[in-house]
Amino acid sequence: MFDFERWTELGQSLSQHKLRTGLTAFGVSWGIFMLVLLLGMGKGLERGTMALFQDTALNSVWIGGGKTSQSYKGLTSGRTVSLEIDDVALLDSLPGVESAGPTKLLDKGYVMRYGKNSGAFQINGISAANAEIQKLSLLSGRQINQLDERESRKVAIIGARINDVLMKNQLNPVGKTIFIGETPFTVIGVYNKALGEQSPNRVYIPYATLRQVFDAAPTVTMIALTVSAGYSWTDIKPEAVRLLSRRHRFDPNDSSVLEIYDISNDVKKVESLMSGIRIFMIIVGTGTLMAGCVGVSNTMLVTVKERTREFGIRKAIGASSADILFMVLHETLVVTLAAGYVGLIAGVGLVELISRLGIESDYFRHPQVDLSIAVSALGILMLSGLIAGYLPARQAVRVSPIEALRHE
Amino acid sequence: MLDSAPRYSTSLRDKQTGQLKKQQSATDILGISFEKPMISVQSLTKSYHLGSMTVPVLKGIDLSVKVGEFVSIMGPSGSGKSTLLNVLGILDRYDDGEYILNGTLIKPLSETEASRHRNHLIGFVFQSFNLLPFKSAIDNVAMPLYYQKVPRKQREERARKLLERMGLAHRINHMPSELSGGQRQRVAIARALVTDPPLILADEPTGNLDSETSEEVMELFTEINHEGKTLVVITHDEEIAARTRRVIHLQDGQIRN
Repeated sequence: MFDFERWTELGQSLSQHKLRTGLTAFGVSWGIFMLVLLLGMGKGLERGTMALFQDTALNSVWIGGGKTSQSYKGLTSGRTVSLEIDDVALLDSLPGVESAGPTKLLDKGYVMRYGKNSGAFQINGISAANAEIQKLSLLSGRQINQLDERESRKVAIIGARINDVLMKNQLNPVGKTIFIGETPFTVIGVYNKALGEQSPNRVYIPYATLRQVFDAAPTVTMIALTVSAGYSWTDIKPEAVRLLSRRHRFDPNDSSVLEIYDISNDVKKVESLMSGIRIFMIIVGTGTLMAGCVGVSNTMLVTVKERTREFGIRKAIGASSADILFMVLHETLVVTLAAGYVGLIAGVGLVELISRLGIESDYFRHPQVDLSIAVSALGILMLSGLIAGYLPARQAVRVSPIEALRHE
Repeated sequence: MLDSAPRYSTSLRDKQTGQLKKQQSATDILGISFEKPMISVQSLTKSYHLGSMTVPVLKGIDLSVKVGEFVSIMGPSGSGKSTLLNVLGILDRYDDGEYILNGTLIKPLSETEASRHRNHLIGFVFQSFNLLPFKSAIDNVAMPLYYQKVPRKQREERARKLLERMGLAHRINHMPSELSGGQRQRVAIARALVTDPPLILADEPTGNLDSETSEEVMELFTEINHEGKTLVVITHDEEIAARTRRVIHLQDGQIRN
């Protein structure tokens, strides 16, 4: 394949029309650049959006109580139904439920103290199972475990903001004792992000401890559960609603009683949106690339026309049609590939730069061009180079030497 | 195409020198024989199609040119002399009749075979020189050898020798645009000779030259002819034709004499 002679010929031929070759190459470079940029940015968009779900398991379902809207078995409508700790065990026993745990957020804030510093914050009681479902992002320390729960230990995971207020952010608070109301708690961890919180300013303690120290009522604010692999919430929901409606005596068809958030449903919606965006980007990117290639093809056609005489001379002194075809195809492929390669490097470079600079928002983070994108872009490039080259090459081969030599 | 090229060159050319083995006996397998004609044309016709109209250009040409002859073809414009030269040069196809070049029947040749025959058997000299403008004199002269896959060094060596012989030793690296008309035509003649073909076809080779330069070119042709090459020159210049050994008059697609 590597034939020095051919490359010399190629160099001479391309350098005859530097500006035109340059502009054509730019079209292809730009096409590949845009394709890579679009796909890389799409990846960033996808990652950013999926990061919205990072505080919770993707297969989790959250269930809360509400008010009845229909009278049922002699009970009036408008009655409040609160979920209780026994419901957690009930749901946990259902086939298809992987794990279930309660969360209970106390309405009023409690004064918390460390040394001379104090502030009022909300308390959230959770079980060890929740550590897997509700993923608190810990800055330091550990999650609440089953031992904490069983022994109703007075341990707390505090928000980074509470750490800021109580300890002025100077100490590692893990192992320190803070007072919640009058009760001493040992800090076991600090978190900086949690589901449903704008800023990390709550205290998470074991649900059992919460009942023992602050609120003995067996109610829970929400039940969080995860669905086993091979099941979906739709499979489990009828039985879950039936069991809960029997315990709390409400009409199982009354949809206003239970507030249910199926995270996987949201994930699916976002994923389908993402694949839609991805397809759109591929179409737009490929279109841009194709426009570049049509440009190459067009320019080569014009060039072939202008070089009619040259092809005629070459044929007269012994070039075969195959020699001419190969020469034109070679030129087009080299221009397309070299230009495409430059575009590819520029696109990957820019995406990488954006990623390095840490430019991100709620819906956008860590854009990346993965290997499959780069490989398929290169594949499209090769293909389009061949298509772009073939038409002019065929035109060149058709040139009859006599016609060509008459061509002034 | 590539694999058959060496076969061709070994059968027609000496392995060591790459020269056509024309100095050998007339009975050798090469088919280049001093008894056989170089060009043998019988009842050859050729028409052009303009839309639905068919315009006959060559109306039954019979022509024989012996090896080593120096022939000119004369005729008014439109008489078909350029068409005849294109057919003889395998640049164009013919309709009917037969054309045998150096013992090879031309009609059944494929496009690739035709280009190989052109490359090995024929050297062209054109009125408008037809040099590649972006190549230096030496590169232009060496071009036909490129299509014979001759290594670069050998190509340049042979091109240089020919240019020196043409009196252009000091111009070998000049571009065509830097050369005078006469110099360009001498570069073109060097290019026609570089593959050492047995036949030189020239189409109005002096048409763009002044009389003094024309004279030089014709002297060069005579010299080449004395070396054993067959020359066919198309011209409308009586003086030029008078310098050749035989003049063929073409009129209205037919040979008159």
